[in-house]
Amino acid sequence: MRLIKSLILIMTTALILSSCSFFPGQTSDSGKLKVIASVYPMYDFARKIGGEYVDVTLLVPAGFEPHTWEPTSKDMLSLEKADVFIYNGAGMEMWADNLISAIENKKLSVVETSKDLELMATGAYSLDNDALTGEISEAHDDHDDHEEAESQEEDHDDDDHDHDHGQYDPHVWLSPINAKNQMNAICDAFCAADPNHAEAYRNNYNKYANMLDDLDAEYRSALDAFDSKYIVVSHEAFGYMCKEYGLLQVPIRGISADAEPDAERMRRIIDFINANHIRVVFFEALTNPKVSETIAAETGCEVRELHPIGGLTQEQIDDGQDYFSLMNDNLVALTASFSSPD
Amino acid sequence: MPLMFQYSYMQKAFVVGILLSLAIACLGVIVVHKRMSLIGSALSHSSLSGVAIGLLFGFNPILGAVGACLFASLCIEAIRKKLPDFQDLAVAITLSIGIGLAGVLSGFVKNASDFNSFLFGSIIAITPFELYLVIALVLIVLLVFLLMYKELFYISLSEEAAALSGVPVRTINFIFTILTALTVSIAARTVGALVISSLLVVPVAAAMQIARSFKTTIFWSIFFALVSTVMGLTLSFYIGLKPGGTIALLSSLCFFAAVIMKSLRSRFSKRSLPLPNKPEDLIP
Amino acid sequence: MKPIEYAVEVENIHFAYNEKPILSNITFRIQDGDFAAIIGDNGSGKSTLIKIILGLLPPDSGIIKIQGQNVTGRSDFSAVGYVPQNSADSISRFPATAEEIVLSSLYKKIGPFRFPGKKHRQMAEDALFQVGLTDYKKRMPTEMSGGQRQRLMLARVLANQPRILILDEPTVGIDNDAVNQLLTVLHQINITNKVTIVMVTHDIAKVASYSNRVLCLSEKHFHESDLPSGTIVHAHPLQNDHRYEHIHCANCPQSHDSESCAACNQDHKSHGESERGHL
Repeated sequence: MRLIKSLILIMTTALILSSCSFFPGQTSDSGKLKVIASVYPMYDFARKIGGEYVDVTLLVPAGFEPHTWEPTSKDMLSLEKADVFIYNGAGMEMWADNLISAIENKKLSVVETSKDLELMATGAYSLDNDALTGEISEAHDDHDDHEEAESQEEDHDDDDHDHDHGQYDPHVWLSPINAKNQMNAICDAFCAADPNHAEAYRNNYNKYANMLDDLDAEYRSALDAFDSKYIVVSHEAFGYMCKEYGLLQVPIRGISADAEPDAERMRRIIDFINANHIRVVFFEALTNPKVSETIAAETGCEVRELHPIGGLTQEQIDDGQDYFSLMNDNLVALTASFSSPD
Repeated sequence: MPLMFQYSYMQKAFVVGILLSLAIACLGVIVVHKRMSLIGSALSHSSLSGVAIGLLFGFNPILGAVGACLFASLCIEAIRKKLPDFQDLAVAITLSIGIGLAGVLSGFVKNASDFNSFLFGSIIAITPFELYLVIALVLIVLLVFLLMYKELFYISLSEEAAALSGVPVRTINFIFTILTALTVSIAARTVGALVISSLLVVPVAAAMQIARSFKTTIFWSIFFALVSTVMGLTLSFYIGLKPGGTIALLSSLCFFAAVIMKSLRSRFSKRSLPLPNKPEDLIP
Repeated sequence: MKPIEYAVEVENIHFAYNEKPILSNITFRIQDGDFAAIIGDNGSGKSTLIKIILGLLPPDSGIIKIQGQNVTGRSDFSAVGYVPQNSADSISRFPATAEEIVLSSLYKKIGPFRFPGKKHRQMAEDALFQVGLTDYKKRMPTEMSGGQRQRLMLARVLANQPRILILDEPTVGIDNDAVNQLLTVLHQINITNKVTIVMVTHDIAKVASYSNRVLCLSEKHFHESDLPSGTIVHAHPLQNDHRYEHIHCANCPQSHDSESCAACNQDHKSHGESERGHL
């Protein structure tokens, strides 16, 4: 009896708590374009383009790892009532295809923002086990492995990592150039769905496109100064950033954020860190830092956060953080990890 | 020194792996004979719902995990008493409560990253704090196991007979339950739920195929658990297999090896099997 | 005349389970040194009666005394050895040697947190010798026959040198020869060691030739009086000895004429056989 009572108590409390926090922005309102964005970057871009004329709801709640999230029937209901559904594509939202085919909402315009982008295979610009063995210092000297990694882009379908996302790396927005493209797609969709405010949307787009150009320039100038540009990350989410700015990611695990690493991979990474005098081990938000910490302890590295911006916590959103602030944080973390202490 | 031991994360993995194998195999022998083989999974899932409750209500999730584990194991004991003929059901019921509660509650945790960080345990990513925690835990488990060996043996043989012989069955069961709960909650967090649930039962099943007494059952269980852990870590280090899954698979391999060994032995030593007693043997 | 010492005294026991009366108004005495057999229909409450005698179940009313001492509230059972029903089956897969199993019952003698010493090993060995399992000391129950396992269960109890031995259906599920072996062992313990034996059984045809008292429990009534000549005792070699106390079979006519009770006896036998058939 006591067990049942406490269960009921826990359930009801949890329900009350959740109903307060799950759909904070869902207000029925007058004339605004109802937009549903799948993941945080889409949500952020949509709000920036739409400004005051749209009402954007984030589908994957704040703080959730977007890869492992699943839509509920309540989410389906809100999609039935929406005007625009924006999603990233490229395998980020494994559930999106099922969701879209299940929706009967005729007026819903669906935007897959990565549709016109050049996608990369997962594991591009990352050093796999073969690249980490033996002649590491040699590779480091003549920068051969950059080309090597680029060539991996084509023939990487048969690699042995966990493909949580299917064959493409979905974190396209980590390149500001791609982000600009995605904003453009969103802008087009808004203009089509709500022609009355098309001009406002265009203006917003131009404003943020400029900001993205500036961000890109900043990244280039800051990162061009370094010649050793390895980033040790916990999963290979940073391929587009690497491609754009000549970095190489060294993922501890494959693409899957919370899989257990194996001991051999750990050793190779530790050896690699020691051989290349790498000073920072990055871990991504919303994943477990324990493995990164273990490697850091082994090598005397510092642990720093590198944000893939796939999902933010409620606190971060409340703090006013957005794509630009996080990209700037990332740049600070990157330059700090590359700048040599001596 | 082999390459493997030049890395401190591997040293820690071996220390933790060997110590936990010792403790878990000892507990496992009793757990299996109390018909609670699934208790590892049941308790590790329950500990997750404890993490979720901790995060939801703002107290330390580790405390929540240990608390939920203790609560769940006491639930198992209570249900066992209610359904003495279906003791294995007690664990299955608690298992589904644990999974269900963890699943439902995790949906309400605002910051899923916190939850993920408690979900995750890997034998090759052991923090110094976890190392000390495991050392302390294993020392306690082994000490209590040694001190209560006779009592635990008797209770696994027959609770009723033990009670009649004056064994304080309730107290011993209570202590054992708490010990199991602590071990599972700590081990699930450090080495992962997969490792604990497989090491708790499979080495014992293997040992029972070839052991010739209760003592040797314990020794063989420890042996199989150690072999699985040590080989699993070694394979993970040299050919890059996931340690948790490898350990689980190797322990199952030990089981099949033991089954084969048993059938070979019975084929080759038929003559050593006892002949039935003749009535005249009886007269002393 | 000095007062007769009773091993077991049961007075006016009532017991109901879920409002359903199982035992009512049960009264009997078993003298020191008796070999008593308790028979009765399936579901007549034989095992329940045993558990009440042992103090494992509290009766709704009535008094049970073992060696003159009240059972309720007693925690020292060292004088009583109990072999539960199916206990041999329950340990048949247990991975322990005969010696380990017998040693476990010496719990009280060894004491908490301690390991068995030489003395205890000797006691275990003696008990195994008594039941003829000396050569099986290092064997496990899986390597034994059903009858051997049953004798192992007996040895476990004998190690504590009990004055009273209570067995619940020890002959179920083992073959004829094994039953005879077991009964021979019990008979010897009864005669040489003067241990009182109380045994629930279906197999009265075999047991009767060893027991000096047969108690019949049927229709939830159970009485004690002098045994009229001819009842079940025809199976007993010592029927003229006046050590027999009564058995009242409620399903027999009050007159206790020999035919009907013999029929009742037949009935019990067929129960026993049919049960074995199911196993």
